[in-house]
Amino acid sequence: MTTTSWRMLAVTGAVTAGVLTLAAARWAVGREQRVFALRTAATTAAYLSIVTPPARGGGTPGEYDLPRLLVAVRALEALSGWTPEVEVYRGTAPLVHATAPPLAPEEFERLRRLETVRWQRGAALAPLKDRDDWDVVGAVKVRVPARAGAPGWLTVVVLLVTLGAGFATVRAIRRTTYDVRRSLLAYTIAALALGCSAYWDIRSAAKAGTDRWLSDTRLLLQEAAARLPGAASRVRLAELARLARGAELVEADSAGVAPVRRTDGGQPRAAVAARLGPGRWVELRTLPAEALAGRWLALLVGVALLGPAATWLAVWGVRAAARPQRLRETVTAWGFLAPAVLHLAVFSFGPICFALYLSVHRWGLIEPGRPFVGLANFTAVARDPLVWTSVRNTLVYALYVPVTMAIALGVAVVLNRHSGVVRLARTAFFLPYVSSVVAIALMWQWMFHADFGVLNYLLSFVGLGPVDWLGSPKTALLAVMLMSVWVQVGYQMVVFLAGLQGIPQAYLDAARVDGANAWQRFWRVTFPLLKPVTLFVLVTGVIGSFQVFTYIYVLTDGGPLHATDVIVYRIYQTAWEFLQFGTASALSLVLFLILFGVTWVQFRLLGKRVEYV
Amino acid sequence: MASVSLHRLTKTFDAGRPALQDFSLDVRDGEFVVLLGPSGCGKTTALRCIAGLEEPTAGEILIGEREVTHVPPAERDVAMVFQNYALYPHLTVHENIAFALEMRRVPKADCARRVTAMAARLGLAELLDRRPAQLSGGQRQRVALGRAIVRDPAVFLFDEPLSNLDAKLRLELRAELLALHRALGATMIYVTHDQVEAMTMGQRIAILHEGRLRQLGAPGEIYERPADVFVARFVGSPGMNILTGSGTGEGGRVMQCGSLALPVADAAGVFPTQLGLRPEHVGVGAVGEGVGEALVEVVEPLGSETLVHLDAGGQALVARLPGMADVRVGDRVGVRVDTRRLHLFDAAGVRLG
Ligand SMILES: Nc1ncnc2c1ncn2[C@@H]1O[C@H](COP(=O)(O)OP(=O)(O)OP(=O)(O)O)[C@@H](O)[C@H]1O
Ligand SMILES: [Mg+2]
Repeated sequence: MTTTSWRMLAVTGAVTAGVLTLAAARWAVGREQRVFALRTAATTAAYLSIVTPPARGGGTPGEYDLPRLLVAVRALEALSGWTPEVEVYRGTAPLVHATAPPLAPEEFERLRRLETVRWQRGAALAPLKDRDDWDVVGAVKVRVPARAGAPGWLTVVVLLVTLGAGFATVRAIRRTTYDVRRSLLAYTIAALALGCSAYWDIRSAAKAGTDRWLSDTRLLLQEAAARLPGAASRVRLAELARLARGAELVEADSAGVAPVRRTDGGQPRAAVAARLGPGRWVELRTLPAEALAGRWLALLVGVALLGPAATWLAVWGVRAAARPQRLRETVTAWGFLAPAVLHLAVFSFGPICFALYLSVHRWGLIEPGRPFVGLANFTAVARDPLVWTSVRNTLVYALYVPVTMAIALGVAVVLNRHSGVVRLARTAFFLPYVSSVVAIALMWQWMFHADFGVLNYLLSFVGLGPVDWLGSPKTALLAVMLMSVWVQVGYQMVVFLAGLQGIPQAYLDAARVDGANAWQRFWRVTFPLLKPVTLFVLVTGVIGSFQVFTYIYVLTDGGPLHATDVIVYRIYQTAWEFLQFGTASALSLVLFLILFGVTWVQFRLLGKRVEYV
Repeated sequence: MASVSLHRLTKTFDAGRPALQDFSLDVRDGEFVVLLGPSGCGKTTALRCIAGLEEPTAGEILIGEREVTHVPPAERDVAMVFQNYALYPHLTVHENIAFALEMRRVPKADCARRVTAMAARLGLAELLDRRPAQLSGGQRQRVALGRAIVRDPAVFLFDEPLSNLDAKLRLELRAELLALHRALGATMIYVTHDQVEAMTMGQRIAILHEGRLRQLGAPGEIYERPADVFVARFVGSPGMNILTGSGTGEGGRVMQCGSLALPVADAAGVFPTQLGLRPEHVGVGAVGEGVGEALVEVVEPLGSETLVHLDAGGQALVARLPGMADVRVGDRVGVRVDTRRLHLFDAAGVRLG
């Protein structure tokens, strides 16, 4: 492709991304408004069926008193603060605006059949059931204002800026100067802002929808209480509950009339107070729609970033065209990388991203709402004393790594030669590492046994014990560490052996001629040259020790008295026993950060490279 | 300073043919001896035995008057420069040079002084804080030398120290090494498979082949009186022509080698079956001249001289002619020979006379 066609591609990408973002946002905003209309239609229908008395003098059972129905509908329109545009049908005939077109018979049929509120021809249509809640006798239609879904002015401005940045970047793409990094960065930031701004529109619409529904329903509640026979103070909540489908209605104290947001037991709530009569207040609570708008953010940002992505592709293409050899190499390299990348993406990055998502949500297996809770999970983690216990235990447990390393290095030095016995010994040392973890744990459980265990048997010879290895909080962690040393020594020894064999003999010969004895040769030559290997063993060992779980799970279950409660065990319990996946994810992120920090420090301290000559 | 004596040294590795066999060598105090031989002949093994890095299977080693066959390297007072220098990669140049001194518990101040002096002497003063990976090949070589010299050992062992350097640098360092030898007056044993190096540097050269000592002598002696066919072929470039044939004429005083009839003096009563002839002692002329005729097979004009490969009735020989000789491939030529320069060998390849 030529430079021009690459630039065309970038422009197309930029425009498409902008338009798509806007379209997606518009659709989502419209959806929020439709949700509002559907709810309102259902509420209004419920309201009408509560307040309209039955037809006088026989007729079909459950039939409404039509004039009273008409009055009730008219009264709605006159209600101050009532915003929806409502039409009520008796059968298919419009009741209020007689000249309005009737309902199509098949639409009405569908309503009768399905008995649920539906979206039809740009309006929400709720079935109006008879007094007995038996048959559908009419419908309530709620329209969405015509300008629904228009983007906010800020979004429009950001869109223009983004497009401008996109075009500027594309202009900068030339055959000779590829360096568009800065303008591409600006463009990317603008696109991010566009995604966020569009998300904000959706969120606002969702919030507005919830607020409107709360205010409108509040009016209906008050109106219904006034119209129902008997004193308002005695209206039963159960009767009104039909108005509040998908929401809670509870007795409450007097309060302001504006909807408020708050959290109830971790769940975000939108609430409004309604005054049913003198001294009689109820509160209407519902899940705020904006709590669920979070998923749009990822989508919108993703779509908005398509523009920078296309531009980046164009830059790459132009550059590759100038150096075809490089292009071929890049394509080949990615070809080889693809399986690994795919695997990583699906099984590593995917779960990591999901954990990130979970960590800022309240996410239980059985709770229906899984709202965004910000950093609440992290505060919960920090406040949990058990978490701190587990962190301390994990740190203590990690001490087994340097101990193992010292043993493994010693063994490796001794076994670093060729002979039959040595080979046998190496295999023996390595065996535990390749054995089933559970089998090993069970075996050690026996060896640790207070009464029949071989360890106590041996101790009895020197007049010690018996020690209740796994049963006492003082020794349980030590016991697990002992076993870990035994398992890991073989593996570390093999790695050290490989490292030892990688050290050219010439250095050791030189040291011998230089007069170094075996001790000096080891500490002055072998050990420094082994540093990369040591670092590798240390880092992987510490990471592994922070992730210890199986031994604990099999041997001690974190006990006794949380003496062996480690971080991963805590994560496990939080997730699968307490079913708090959000908190568990937060804790695993904390573990990730700890590991990241530990590894970084280790690399800084030990990581100076050694170059062989 | 010390002499080095190897007495009937044999070294056999786990499998196969001995790497050294009955190897005896006396290196005088302050002498520069070169061990020369083809790849795999046991030069490194001999050197490592002297250093104490290998234990000989049989025989003994003396350094000075002391028997050191089973003494560890640290106590032999030898220094060795390895083929790949073996500079400690994790230490700076300064630390590399100081390493041996530290191992010998030389006081810190003294140690630093000696290292600095050594660095100045070898032109390494600027490089003291670098690591080996940051040095050029020549600089590494100098550091390796410095590391050996700073200890002031009785014996220096060099294992092909120049083989990794380019030709110009090699020439330079060769001269430097010789100057160093003169200045230190130390005993040096130098391993190489480059005969130019051996000829120019060695006071005496020991030629090894398949673990055995074939000849020990001054460079001129080795060249002019090779002890056997192997040495004759190995030394010189190209090596000596070896012709085989049988005696004819009265009392076998003429040897018929292919199409060449060569007069030989009867050496010590044993009749030679192999004749040696250095290429520079072979000439060409018109057919009919000289000791017989031969076919020109290959001509290699080298500018200052021309190598002409001849086939004399199945016997291959090379003539080295001065300047650009006027011969062509396929020519038939007469072969002239300086018969006084014939080397005579018996059937086993041992020199006669
Ligand atoms: N450690 C060893 N184990 C077994 N065989 C060895 C060992 N070291 C050397 N040899 C063998 O001994 C013989 C002599 O080896 P040596 O290294 O002394 O040769 P060299 O003359 O130094 O050759 P080069 O010029 O290639 O360095 C070779 O056949 C080699 O394969
Ligand atoms: Mg060698």
